[in-house]
Amino acid sequence: MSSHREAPAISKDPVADNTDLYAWVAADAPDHVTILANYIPFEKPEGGPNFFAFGDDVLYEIKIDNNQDAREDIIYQFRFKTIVTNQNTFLYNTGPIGSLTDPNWNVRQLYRLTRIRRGSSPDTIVLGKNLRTPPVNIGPRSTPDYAALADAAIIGLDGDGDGMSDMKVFAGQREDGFNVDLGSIFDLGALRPFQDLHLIGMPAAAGKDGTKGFNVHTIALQIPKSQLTSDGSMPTDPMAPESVIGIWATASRQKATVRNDDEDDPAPENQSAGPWVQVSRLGNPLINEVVIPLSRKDVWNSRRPRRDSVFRKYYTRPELQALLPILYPGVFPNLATNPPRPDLVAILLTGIPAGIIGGFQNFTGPTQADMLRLNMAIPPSAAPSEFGILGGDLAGFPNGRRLADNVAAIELRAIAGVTLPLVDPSYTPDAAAGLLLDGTSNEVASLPEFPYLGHPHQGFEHVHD
Amino acid sequence: MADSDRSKTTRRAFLKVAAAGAAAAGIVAAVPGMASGSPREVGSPQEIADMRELMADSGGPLVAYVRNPAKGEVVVMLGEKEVVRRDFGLMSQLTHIARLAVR
Repeated sequence: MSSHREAPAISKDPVADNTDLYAWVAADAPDHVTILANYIPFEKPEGGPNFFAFGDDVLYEIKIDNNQDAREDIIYQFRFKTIVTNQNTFLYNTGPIGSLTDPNWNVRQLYRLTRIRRGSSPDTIVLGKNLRTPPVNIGPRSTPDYAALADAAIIGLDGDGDGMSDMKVFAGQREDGFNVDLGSIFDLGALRPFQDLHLIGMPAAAGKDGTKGFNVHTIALQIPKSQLTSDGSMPTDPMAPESVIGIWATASRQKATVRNDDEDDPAPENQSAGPWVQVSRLGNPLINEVVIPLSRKDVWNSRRPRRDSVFRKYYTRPELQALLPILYPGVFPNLATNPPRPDLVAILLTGIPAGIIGGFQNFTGPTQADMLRLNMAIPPSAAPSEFGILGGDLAGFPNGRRLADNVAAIELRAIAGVTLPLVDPSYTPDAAAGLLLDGTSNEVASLPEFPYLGHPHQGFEHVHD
Repeated sequence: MADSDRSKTTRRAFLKVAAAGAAAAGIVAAVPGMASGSPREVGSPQEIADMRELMADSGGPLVAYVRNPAKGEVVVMLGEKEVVRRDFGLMSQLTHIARLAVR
């Protein structure tokens, strides 16, 4: 969760595994959209000597639809290249790493960021070459001032070609900002705070964060809103269609890989050929995790969002909706009628149309597609609610997603029926539906500025739940 | 200041693959012995140089596979591109070679 190891094939390919996607308008950059795409689940911070890294053979992409057709209009592509400066040591570093050019740092990654724009004026621009990632956070001897190393990897780029830096990029290891009680939820759907009501009851308890103490690898962008709209305008009207963008992140591998067994001419590494084939994607959190059934998860990961109507039936009557009344006997009598869920189809597949919530919409057209939708004209909230729109905060999930949004609780409550009255006023949610949560919170505070996600846990000392 | 880069290596590789595919079809037609699987064990310096250049430009191997036997579709991949060639003669050659692997 929210998309960690969520499908059979990608669970065996962690370097290409999308784990979370965030997109929001940050309070300190209100004219920009901040997008974070996380990959590589459950990085144990001490995992040396070959510490975690982006895949040199993976194409990482962030895709944006800005004209309501669920097709990518803007693509940000990231390609990484690993540099080993000293081939005669097994060590990641041969002394303290004091800077991004420190000769003690032996295994480095550089990357290239390319932007592709489609539509009436298509172009492909390399926004940056040989951009530096920070090292992983090893410990007090190897990376004694990790914050300084990470800060040095925040790079300003020129997105509009006027010679001035107007956007930011960062790529590197971060702490996993997601929190969820994996150990309990995958033990027959138990939520520790309510497990006294479970079919196999135990005393209620506080949640345990299954991702606590683990890291991920993050691609972060902060882009002027005017570079994301279809007409180059700055969105100010929440009800205007052009204020809304759909966002998803993917990972792709080339179609063929050849492992060289020619002992007379050994290649230094595996070699790939052919076009890129998508192996992972992520828009809304938890969809492939708990909405799509096991037999369809790998297919879902390979599909483009605009083809998602084939998965509609799993949103209309989600499996979890049917399970909750069974796992918590007597707690969800209204949900037990297994009502159809046009609310979930709207929220997750088309966006919320105008007329449902006053002064708000994030509708991206009738094409059913799993995208994280963001109405860029909604300003940052002065009093954010972790429950986002369910908490009366229009700047939070499912209008984009902020780091502090409690998406596990929001989606649990939505599937339990809280959002159904939006489109079916005759339905009364069960009293428990609006109380559901797993009882976890993130262990690391977000940073006050880009890239916001906290510094990674160090290998030398860290704590898991 | 940003600079433009339109996948120059892949475009070049793609065009060369297309040319290589056409050349392969030409060989099948011109050398009857090949259709029955008789290998030509000596390559010309130009043939060898062409293939080396293709692989060097793309930074990887050339990979071919039969995708749809009913249509005689052979897919040739190099770099980040692929060419789908409908060529029963080429497929027949590959079939003959493949039989050696399963004997």
